[in-house]
Amino acid sequence: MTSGFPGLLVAARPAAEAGPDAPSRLLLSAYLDLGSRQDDPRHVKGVALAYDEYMSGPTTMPLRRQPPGSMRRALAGEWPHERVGTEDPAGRPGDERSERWQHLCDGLEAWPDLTAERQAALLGLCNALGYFGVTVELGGPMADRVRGAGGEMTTDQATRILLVATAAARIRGSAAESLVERSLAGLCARGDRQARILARSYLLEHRGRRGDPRDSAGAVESLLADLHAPAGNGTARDRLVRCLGLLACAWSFDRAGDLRRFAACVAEARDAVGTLPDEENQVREDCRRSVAEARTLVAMRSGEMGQAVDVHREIVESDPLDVHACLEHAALLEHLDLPTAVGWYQRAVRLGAPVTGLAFERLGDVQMRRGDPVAAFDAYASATSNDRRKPSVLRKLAECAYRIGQSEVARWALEQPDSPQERRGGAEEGHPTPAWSVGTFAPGPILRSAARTRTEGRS
Amino acid sequence: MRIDDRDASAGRTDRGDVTQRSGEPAENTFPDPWTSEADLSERLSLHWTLTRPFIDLSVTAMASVQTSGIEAAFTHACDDPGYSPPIHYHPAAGVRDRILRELGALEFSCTHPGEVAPELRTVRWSRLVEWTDGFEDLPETSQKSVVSLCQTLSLYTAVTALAERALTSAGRTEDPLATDFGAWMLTRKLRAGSLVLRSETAHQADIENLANIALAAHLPLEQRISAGLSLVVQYSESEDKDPALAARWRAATEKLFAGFRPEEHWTHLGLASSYWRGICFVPFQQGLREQVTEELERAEQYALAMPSDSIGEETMRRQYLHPLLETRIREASWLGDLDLSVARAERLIELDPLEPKVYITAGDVHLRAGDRERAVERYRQAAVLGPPYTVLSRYKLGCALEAAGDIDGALSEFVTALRAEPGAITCARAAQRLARLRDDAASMSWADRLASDLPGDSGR
Repeated sequence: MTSGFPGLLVAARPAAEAGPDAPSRLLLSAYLDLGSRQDDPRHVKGVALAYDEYMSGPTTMPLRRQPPGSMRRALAGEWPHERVGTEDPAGRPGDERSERWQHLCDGLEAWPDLTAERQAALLGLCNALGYFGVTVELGGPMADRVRGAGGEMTTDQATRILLVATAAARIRGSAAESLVERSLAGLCARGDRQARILARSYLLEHRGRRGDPRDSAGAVESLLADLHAPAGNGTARDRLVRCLGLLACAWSFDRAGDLRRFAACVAEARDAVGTLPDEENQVREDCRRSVAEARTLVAMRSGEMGQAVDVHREIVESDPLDVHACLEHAALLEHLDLPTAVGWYQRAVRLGAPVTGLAFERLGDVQMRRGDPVAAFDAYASATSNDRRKPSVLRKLAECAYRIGQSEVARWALEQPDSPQERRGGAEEGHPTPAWSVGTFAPGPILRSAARTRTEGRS
Repeated sequence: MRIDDRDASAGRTDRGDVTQRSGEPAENTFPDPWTSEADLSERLSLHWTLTRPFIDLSVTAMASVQTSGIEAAFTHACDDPGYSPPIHYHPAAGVRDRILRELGALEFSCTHPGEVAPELRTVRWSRLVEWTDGFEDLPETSQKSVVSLCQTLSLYTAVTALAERALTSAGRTEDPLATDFGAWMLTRKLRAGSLVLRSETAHQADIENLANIALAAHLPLEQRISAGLSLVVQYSESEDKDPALAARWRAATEKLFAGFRPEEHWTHLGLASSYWRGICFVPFQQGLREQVTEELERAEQYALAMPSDSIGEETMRRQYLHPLLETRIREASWLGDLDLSVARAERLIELDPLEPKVYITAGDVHLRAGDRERAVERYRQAAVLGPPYTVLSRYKLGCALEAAGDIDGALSEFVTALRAEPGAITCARAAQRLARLRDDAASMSWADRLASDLPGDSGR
């Protein structure tokens, strides 16, 4: 007696590129081997670009989106059979290193002998890969030395300090906080105009993220005034810096709840990015992405969910393999078209790392909203695999399990201790993270706002 | 110069001051293998919890009928009573390997218990290794217990080897059927050999041995009846299908059963249930509906009459009821009573709610009954429970979703199946097809790579 399905054929020897981590392992392989493929998400191509810059040119990393501090730990959690090297590139075993990866390791070993430009590019590469501790360890002392010296900083010095500051901003602890503050303060005092604007923008953002009272209206107005003042030689880099500065101000207005000025700054930033030349492709596209995210949020704050979806569609269409973009799009669609939102969450689940657990959790939430507790049960159970035992997800799993009569699974879920990742403080969540400087791999403002809107709509 | 050796005279500040990281351990975020039943909380996903008895003989609070059997077999091997209730419900060959593969725990893989690395052995597994190492020194009842335990773990290569050692040490290789112990061991050896080797020679040896046992008047009646039943089933259903031989062995087994007293001991009730379930294969092949129903009713009566006052008795009872209900589900479908087959499938779930296979069975039944929604629910529950049926359940779920028009859902299931089993050709081709429909470049690219590397024919 048959079920009517075609037979299930299984090969004795699976394909070489298969594996429990695919397809994310393929898509994100640059984080392990520094290579790139045409169909990689843009942030992955950015890693390969950082390598190219290290080998042959100045780094553009201070102007580009960077991953969150938890990136490598997240990848280690996603790919338990891979020796990811969470703290140090040398953590990748020698026999598993690509030629490019070995160049990186060799560069770190030869650090004192590198030129200033090469050192900056190496720090940029470490940041692109998520090795923020390495950047701080190598660049921190240099940053303090430069700060202590006199005179105006060179471009390379400023670049290195910016990279050290953005790396330190992703490391927890008072020492790292102090390094961020003093590095950027030094840059504000002695960098050129572009460096000063970037430093003030980073500071504004950094303090705003932490709810620091120094995120004051005065700092924003002062920065805005400088951005509006006629200055600079109108180069592409000037316009980029201006765009990033405007976005920093925009996020500050958003935090203050000033929608009008938030929208105005975002519109100005959009105009600025529109004039960037083609040759700075990755930088331009990173900027455009950040502006599009801000525009999406403007629409959301204005209650225009349809417009928010339309704006955000530009992001998913330009970077269809970026799992965060899929998650955000799904979250936006939840307000308008639940079945289509489910499809986008399922796409995110297929893309997987580094947010597989979150994608499954969101899928479970939306399946519950659709009234399908069994599908939600499946999604929540998947969200708890691989040691991802978030207490909230376990509770949801238990609730679904009880609802569908799987009482033993429910009991199991309620009895679980927190996962090792949770106990170690796992991935960073909950910070009001502006998009452009600290990365959007963690749930960013769009996801959080979408969740809030959903909750408010229900109440 | 490596980072760790960097010279402090270069002016850098103290590492501890600057790089105050989150305090987690260095590179390897996963725990070392454990050596006892100590704290296992680092590695307890739902699937690990459900299948732990297979992995390392640990106890689980979430036991299916099959994993309960492992616990029962281990307990019995430890206690070594004079009387050994048989473990009735054994896993198919390769189940343990499939579980380990799906969990990504191939470091526990072995053909013999002693092959598991010492640092991975729990206290219980270490005991099993001690028993197998000193197997010849064990009394016969203990030897049987250890072989049974290996059977429940799906370690059939070890079963073959241990049975051979038992026969050799007892001086029984010349005429193993001279005693019931020899007959028991030889049966295990040949049956396991047939499962592992899958060769015609091994299979024929197994069949021949069963026939010899069934005809050996000096052997215990239970052994002869079991052998006869095995032959009835063998000639009724497998590639050896031969209705005449099946009928002949049914007649022979009926004669043996006529002298059997089920009421003598509670374990005889189980054999009686197996008898009526086994012999009904003949009228089933002959299309005799009423006779099949009558005989399965009797099988069920005997199984339900088994006591369940202790954990051991309850385990045994469930072990007999499980395959019986599977047969009764098939019977109901064969009779065209889809509602009845659904009801029995749901009963099977109640009996064994943590076994993924019963949900797949229920899903199939609901699908035949036209209830696609319920079928999807049951396949999903099977998928959640996972190994060793993750691939099959995700595949069936994917097919059902695709039939229902949920292309995204179906594609996700095929991708998930491929993550669990990269060699699943059918899933790779389905993923290719659906990824194109959905314009999912990532899945398409990956499925294309997989499918192009896979052979067009099955390897298993």
